[in-house]
Amino acid sequence: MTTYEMRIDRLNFNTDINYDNIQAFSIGHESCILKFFKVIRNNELLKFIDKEKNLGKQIRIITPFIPERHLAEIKDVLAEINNIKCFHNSVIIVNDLGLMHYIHKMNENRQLCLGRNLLACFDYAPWGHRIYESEDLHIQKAVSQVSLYDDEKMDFFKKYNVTETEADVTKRTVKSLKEIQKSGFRVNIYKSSFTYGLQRSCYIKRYNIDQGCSGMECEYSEKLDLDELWCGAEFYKEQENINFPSPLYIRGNQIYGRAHDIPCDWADSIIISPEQNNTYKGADI
Amino acid sequence: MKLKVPVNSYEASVKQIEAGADEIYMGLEDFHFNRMSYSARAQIASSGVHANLTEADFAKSVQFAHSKNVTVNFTANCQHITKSEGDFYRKNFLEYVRRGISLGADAVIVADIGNLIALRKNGIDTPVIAGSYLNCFNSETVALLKDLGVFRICIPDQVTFNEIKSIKKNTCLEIEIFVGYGCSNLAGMCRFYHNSGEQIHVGVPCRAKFIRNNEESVSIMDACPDCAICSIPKLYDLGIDSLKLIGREMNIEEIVNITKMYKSAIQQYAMEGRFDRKEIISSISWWENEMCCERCKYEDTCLLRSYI
Repeated sequence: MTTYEMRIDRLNFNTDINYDNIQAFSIGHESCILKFFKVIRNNELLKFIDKEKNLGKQIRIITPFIPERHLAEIKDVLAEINNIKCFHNSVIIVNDLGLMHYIHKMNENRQLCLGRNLLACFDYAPWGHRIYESEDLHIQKAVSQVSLYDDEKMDFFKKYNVTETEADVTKRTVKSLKEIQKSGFRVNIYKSSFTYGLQRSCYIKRYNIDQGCSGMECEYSEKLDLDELWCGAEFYKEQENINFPSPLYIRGNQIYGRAHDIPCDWADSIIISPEQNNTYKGADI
Repeated sequence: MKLKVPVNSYEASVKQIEAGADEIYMGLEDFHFNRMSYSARAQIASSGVHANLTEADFAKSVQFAHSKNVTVNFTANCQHITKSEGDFYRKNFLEYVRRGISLGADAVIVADIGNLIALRKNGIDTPVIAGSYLNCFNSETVALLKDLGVFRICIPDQVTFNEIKSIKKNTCLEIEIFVGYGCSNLAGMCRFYHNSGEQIHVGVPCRAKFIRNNEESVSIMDACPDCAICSIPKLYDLGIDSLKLIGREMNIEEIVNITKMYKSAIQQYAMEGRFDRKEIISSISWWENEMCCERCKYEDTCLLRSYI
């Protein structure tokens, strides 16, 4: 049966409402280490997940890519987490291969889930089919499968006790995701967003260098509509339909668009964000 | 400290080596594809430039490179190998790698864990460089890649000088970093794939202009670190093994000028112990205007201060 996983990746997460329709909570951040630290150390949020854990909900931890300068601190946080009761047996979602390596070294029984940022596929590009449309059909099929659908990689990740993967979904990637599921991985699908890229630079700080980072500046996303493309020396208007996702959203160091509207009743879990809580009561998957 | 530069033809190999390259990197055309390739650039970029070489050009390039003591890195850095009927896709990939090696490549650039494992399993023991798509941002990832048998790591664009220093201190592997044009997004995690075989003009999507919240039009995603000229002395002193320029999909004349500029910076510092920035960048008339305003990769500028 498909379950619902609510993402807690912002400090203003509403801890007062009823989450009866949610079976799991994942706390942390998938792209920003600074936001991760702030969320995972927030007492109100920790109290909330402790309460939910006592109600039988699953508590998971979502981690981003780890720049070297934050490596020591994330190791400290992981050590702290080991001592927090509500995180016992929590699956850790990793978006960094080095962190996966480290966690497994520390505790080989810790269950891990691959974050969606570690999956590649040409079909994830907005103009994906335009990349491979000139190729033979058997090539088209292979390159529109998600990169994890490969025996070498699946065996490799199983050795790290990776038992699940997150994924974005497009029409053409469904089949390979189902095959990954058949190979023994749980597959958890994003219905809240579709990621297009991550940056090391936070645009809020880029636009205002005096801006501090309290963790509140990036609680909400900004909407972006394509105006002009850039190529080498100049900007130009879109000359043909390149299927650019519109609108796009930017939030901190994350660029994303709307998730594709694809039935996902086959998925093990649907990942949703707080603002979607009212629209996902189980009927719309 | 070596300067590693892109080539996309035999003529480009000659020009780049004469411009001062210590290492060249290139891919091979492959008959399994019409436009795509097993390298990180399509056979034919959207600009129409052929980014990979024919076998004949590849062999001639290797021969010329070796005659000048220049090493050849072979690009097998695709991320798209997945399961296929009879495993034909992986087998073809391995065949591609074997062809490059038989033509004389000294090392292979790989950017996918599955490919890395498959190479070793299939008895291919040529030295392997972990490409930047493997997202090596920290020493733990270096440790993992070391276990997988690579001899060099290509660190992605958005890693600071102090972080490179820390990574370098913790490993015996060779470290390669980018010095030329860079990406706004983390390359291994970006889905705005371009120069991948598409027959449409998407340009460089992260540098596009967007209407922000129905108001101004801005290049809000543009966070490209494009220049490391001023950092050459400290990179040299740190003992970085290789500096990499990109541009196989570009007009090679432009890249050759950039190669010359970086080579003269490295030579000036190595031989004379001095570094005259003005003199170095004056070789490309537009460089100062375009680059010296927050495009530094490794200096303390607004861009780096916005890094998380």
